[in-house]
Amino acid sequence: MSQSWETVVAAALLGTDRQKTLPVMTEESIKTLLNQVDAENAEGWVLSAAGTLAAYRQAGQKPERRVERLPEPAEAEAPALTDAAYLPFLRMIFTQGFQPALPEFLSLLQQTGKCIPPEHLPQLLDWGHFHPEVRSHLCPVIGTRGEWLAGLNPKWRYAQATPQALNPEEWKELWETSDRTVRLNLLREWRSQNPEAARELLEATWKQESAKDRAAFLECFSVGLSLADEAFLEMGLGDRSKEVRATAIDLLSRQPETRFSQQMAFLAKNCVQIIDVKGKLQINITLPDPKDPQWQQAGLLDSYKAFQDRFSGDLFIQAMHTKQGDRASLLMQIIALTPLSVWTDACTPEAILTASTQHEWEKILTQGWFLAAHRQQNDAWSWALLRWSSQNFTKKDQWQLPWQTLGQLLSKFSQNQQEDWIKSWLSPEVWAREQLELLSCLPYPWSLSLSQRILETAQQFLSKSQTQSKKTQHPAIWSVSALKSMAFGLHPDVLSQASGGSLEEIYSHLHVPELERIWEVLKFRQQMYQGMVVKGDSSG
Amino acid sequence: MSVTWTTEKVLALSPDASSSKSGQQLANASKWGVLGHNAIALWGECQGSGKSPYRTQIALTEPAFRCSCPSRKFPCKHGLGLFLIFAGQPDAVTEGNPPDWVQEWLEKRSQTTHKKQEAKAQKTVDPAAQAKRIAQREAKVTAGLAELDLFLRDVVRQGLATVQTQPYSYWDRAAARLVDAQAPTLAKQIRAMAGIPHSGQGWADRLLTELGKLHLLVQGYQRKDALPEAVQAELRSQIGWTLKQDELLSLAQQLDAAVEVCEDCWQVLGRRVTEEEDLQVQRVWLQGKASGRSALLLNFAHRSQSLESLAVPGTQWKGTLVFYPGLYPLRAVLKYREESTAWTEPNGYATIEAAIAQYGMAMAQNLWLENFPMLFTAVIPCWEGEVCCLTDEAGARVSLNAEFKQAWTLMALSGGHAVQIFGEWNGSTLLPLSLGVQGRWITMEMPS
Repeated sequence: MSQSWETVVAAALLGTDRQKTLPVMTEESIKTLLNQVDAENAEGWVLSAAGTLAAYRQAGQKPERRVERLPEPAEAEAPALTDAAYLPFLRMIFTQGFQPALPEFLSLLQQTGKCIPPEHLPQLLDWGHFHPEVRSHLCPVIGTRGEWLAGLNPKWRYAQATPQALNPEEWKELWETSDRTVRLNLLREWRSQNPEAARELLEATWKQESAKDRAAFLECFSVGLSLADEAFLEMGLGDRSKEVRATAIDLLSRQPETRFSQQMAFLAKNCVQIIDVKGKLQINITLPDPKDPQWQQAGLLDSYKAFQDRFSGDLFIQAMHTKQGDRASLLMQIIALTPLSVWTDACTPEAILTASTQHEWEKILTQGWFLAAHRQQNDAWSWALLRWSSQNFTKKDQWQLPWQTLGQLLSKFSQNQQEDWIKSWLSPEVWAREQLELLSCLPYPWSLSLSQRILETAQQFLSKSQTQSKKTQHPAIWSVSALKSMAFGLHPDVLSQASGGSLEEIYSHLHVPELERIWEVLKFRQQMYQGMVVKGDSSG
Repeated sequence: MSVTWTTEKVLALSPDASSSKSGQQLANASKWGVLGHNAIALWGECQGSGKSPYRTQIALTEPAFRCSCPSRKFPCKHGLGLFLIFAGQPDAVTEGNPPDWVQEWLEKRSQTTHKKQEAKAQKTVDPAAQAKRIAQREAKVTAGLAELDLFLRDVVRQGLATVQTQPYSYWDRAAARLVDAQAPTLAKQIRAMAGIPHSGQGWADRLLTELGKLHLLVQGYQRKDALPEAVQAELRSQIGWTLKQDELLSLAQQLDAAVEVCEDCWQVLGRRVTEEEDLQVQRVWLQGKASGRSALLLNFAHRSQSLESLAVPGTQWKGTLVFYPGLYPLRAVLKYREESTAWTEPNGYATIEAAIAQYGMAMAQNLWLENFPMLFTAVIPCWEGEVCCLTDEAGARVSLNAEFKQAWTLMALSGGHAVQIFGEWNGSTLLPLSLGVQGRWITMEMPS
């Protein structure tokens, strides 16, 4: 059968012009069949034979056989599937752009003790793949089915109940065959389990990776970082790619013991002297000079070159650079890369920051310490920088670290600590300042006490500005992003009828189109809480 | 109301993924001014970009939609949004008497049904004029087929290897001549062939299959008078020479032997809306509960119009279908239907082998069969390398169509257990349209 078909295909490919004689069919059954074909010439015969044989083949086909082994089927769902009444909320989250409320929806679902219906799992598992912050909320509600499904797709490994332990061969296989995001997750996972082996895994394919990938993979070394990585990171200092060099510097500077950090500490101590003058700290600055022979002696010039291009793309530094000159911006870079422990031998970060207030080099110093605190994930310094900044929020002539910078420091702390810090400075005076944007850095939803505090402050601000000139009533003085974070952040209890009135008052005051959407978010969350908590409670 | 409308069922009505999305955006009671319903209808006013709000109404029995918005999608996002609110948050829709604009529409709807029937009865055709029109078209088609015959022979004379190097215009010219010859279905097939030479491995087999079948069609049509009536009907419909619905229904009335009338409880297994140039095409697959018969309802609407009525997968109703004459008839029109009743488990093929065998039977009767409905009662979605497949207990498998993007949804719903899957089989791959599990009937959303 297939033989005859191939004969006809060959004849058709070649064309009857080139092959005048008709092919001879060898299969008897086909001969009889094709004898009935009305063929007045070669073309007609080829076409008729093709049509007949094609139909014959299609009609007579047998199903293909499965080759691969089937995975074990999922066990019966332990928690019941969620109430269909909750699903409209899930759909709205995705269709109306309410994704920031997804973790909230998932925790509400968890409280009802039920899990996500299977048809929504692929979308949510994909969302979790791209948004790691959602995973801790998602995993408890995917049910047995979700865990089973996650086991079939390397992208969803994070959601497996116990990610199956892989042997080095399997790691290698996955590492070499997966796409970029999966590989990044794999590398992080393996760094946390076995940093040495993970480094070797990367070293083996290092040369074949693109520059973009090399930098991203190297960044994963922040998981399980140790001095054992130093040699590999130093190799990164000489990489062709600027991004890779920058990442290597960042990682080296996180460990005070590395040769690189030691060099920076040496330089920093030469430039910045903190001395105790009769119980009062005094900071003396000598600007660094790469032409200084000491640099050459200490072998610093290579590191200097490396970090020069580390910062060349940084806009903030560029701005500083033009204002302060080369040597000043170099000073900041040195401070940023110096282990913070260098400064606190004899005094606290708070004391040092107080001493830097109104100092001639205040901006350089604090910006450098911020970068160091952020990179080295130093809690004491981060907290001190936050406190120091918030004390100065309402001072008029005081230079401020940008709020985005503070937000980065803030994100390392627990939700309680973050909220406590916000409460420490929240007041009607700050309301119209850019620092209010820091609300958007807090995880949603906020605690009841912070939510109440925010509403009170907003009302105080409102009544105050109403008594003042009309100009200040203009909604422009309200930060839209702060209002937006209020929409996603406010605790559900303040959304209930009792205090909802005040909220409505606040928003009705600002009846401008861009705020209508924010009001929608609030109403959506209200509905979600009423719909899910109440019904969940009554059903069990 | 014997059918409970769920979000799932409503979304199954959506013409495409983007409509589902915008429909769901509108499924927010705060976007609606008026929201109301009674036993047979649902209505609402939605503020759009214009001055006055859009008036959206739904007759729940079919369901039928109407909206004052200019959208060409059917149902439009307002219709879907309104229906989704009704399904998801019924408390948001107050029960009451319909406003005048809804009442008028409902009255007009019941009148049109009457009028249509009357009109049909009264419609007088001038037989002489009609015969003349038919003769004219017949002449055009005959000439067009003669040209097509030459074209096909020319392809084989040159050889497929040479034809592979021809530009698109080579095929397009041939197709355009068929359009002029009033054989649009054939023109479409020729245009579809243009892509095959560049479709990768096995292209010559695929192209020759199509060429060969088309040749048999031309040959058959050229001597159709010698063939049985059903074959003639099939040949005519393959060429695009189709009966109008009215004509078919009146043939049925006259008890024409070639026209089959089938009364049954019809289960709506799947629905698919595609766009072809300026047309929206809705395909609804039905299966008779008692007869086991498959039927395809086709609806066309120009892109500026809306499709007339909808059938919702996962519903069933008693009704009468009239089948178009042909070989292995699948296409039908709805003559009469009752209201939907509660869904019951549909019957299907227990094994993949049985389904393929049935397809073979159908092919043996009609070699031009394009899409064949298959309902498997117990298949497991699985991966074979990069390809998603369905497999059964016996270890047979069918590959899913590469256009199908919801393989993971199938996997999630099955959990590695056997489920029911309904889809269209094109002779080599299956395009799943719905999945049944534990009494639920879930529609697969098609990419728009």
